[in-house]
Amino acid sequence: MADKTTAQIFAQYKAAIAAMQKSADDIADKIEATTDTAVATTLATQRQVFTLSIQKLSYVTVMTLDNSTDVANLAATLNGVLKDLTAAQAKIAAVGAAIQSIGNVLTSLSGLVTSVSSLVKPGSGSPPPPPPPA
Amino acid sequence: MSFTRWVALAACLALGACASPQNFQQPIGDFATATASASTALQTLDQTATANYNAVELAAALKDPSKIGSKSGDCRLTSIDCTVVVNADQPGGAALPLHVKSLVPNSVQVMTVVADYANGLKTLAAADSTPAVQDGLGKTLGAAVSIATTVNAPTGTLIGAIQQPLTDTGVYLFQQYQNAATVAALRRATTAADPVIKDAMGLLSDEYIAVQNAAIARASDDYELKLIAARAPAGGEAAINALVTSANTFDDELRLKNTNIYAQVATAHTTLKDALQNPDVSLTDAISQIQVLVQQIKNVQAIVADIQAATQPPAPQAPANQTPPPGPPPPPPANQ
Repeated sequence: MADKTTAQIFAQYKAAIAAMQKSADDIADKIEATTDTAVATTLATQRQVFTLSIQKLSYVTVMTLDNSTDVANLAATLNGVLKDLTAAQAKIAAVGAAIQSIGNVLTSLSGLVTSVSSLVKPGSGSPPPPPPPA
Repeated sequence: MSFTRWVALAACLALGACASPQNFQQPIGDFATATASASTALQTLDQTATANYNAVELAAALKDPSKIGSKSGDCRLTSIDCTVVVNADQPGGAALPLHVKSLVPNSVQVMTVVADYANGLKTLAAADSTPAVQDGLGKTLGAAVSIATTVNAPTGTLIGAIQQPLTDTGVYLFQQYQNAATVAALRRATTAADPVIKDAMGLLSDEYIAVQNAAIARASDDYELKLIAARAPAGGEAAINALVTSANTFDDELRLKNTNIYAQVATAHTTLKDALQNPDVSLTDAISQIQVLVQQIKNVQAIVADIQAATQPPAPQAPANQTPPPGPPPPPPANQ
């Protein structure tokens, strides 16, 4: 996969990861700002949506770059991550964390989904559906 | 001596281009040592990243064992492979392998061949006869072809460089001519291989960044949980010590991300190639870049050793029938 397309996908991967890192760091700030252990624990659980998504997306990206897994797997992983984050969005807002950047995360991931989906060969896996509305 | 040899020798002397391969032996030797270390470092990083990936998928499987299944089309009597996967929570999500032996098997192979290539340059620089030079050139370019094939880079230039004879074989009477033949071979090898090395190292650099993003996310999760525990009224000294240990690992992972040795391998190779073209101008640059690479690899090795020491439990002091120490630390609790 050493080509220009890979470079473009990796650039978008980095943008998506940066947005998720920003959100996770925002929540970390909230964790340090509270003295209530229960609230901090809840925030940490919400934060794990981002950190686990970063890990999953990174591992599958690495395997795709290495050609040890199919591009379809990256597309499907992205789809799952996008759904997880969309589902978590309301919960994160409910616990009071001002996650301004979650919209950026979803936008970045949507762009990545589009790019990766265009690489999935017909029959090599189920291409992900269009990204959900923000 | 044939006419062509006389012409080559005359040109060499007239142009002052009789560069001595001895001048390059030290930097090329350092480059070979550095790439061998980079190859070893990649294997270690792959082992750690693979263990972390397997832990994430194990946690997902334990969270909902009903998600465990066979990869589509696998694990049947008529199948070719059998891979156990963890199906996604969401419809349309990925079914990821529950356990992998290596996250980046192809890249580990590429880096091994890059180290072989660099070792071939070292042998070539020390070659003392034309047959040895021709043999060394063939082996070096052969390694570069192998790299190109694995990373899907074009091989045409490399194969052309192999097929074009360096010179006719025989025993040369003049050391200057022998030196010129060796330097010419080094020039041809490094010039032909440089784009391939850049491609391969670009790929490894991207993979390195992604692996470190995952490692940092994992370390930060652990840090946040330890921070909350340490700040809780019931935390105490043990929780504070656990926080310090976690912070050290997090710090190591962050520093590792900023030490991308694979980008530096490409830079060092390009400066080496340039130095062979014009040693008077750029040999110092090549030596400098290779020293940067050597230092970066030492830093990475030290950080990786720190991480391994922090994540591996101390040797058991208990009786021999104690259960073996666990693998890498379990992933954070499942989300939601």
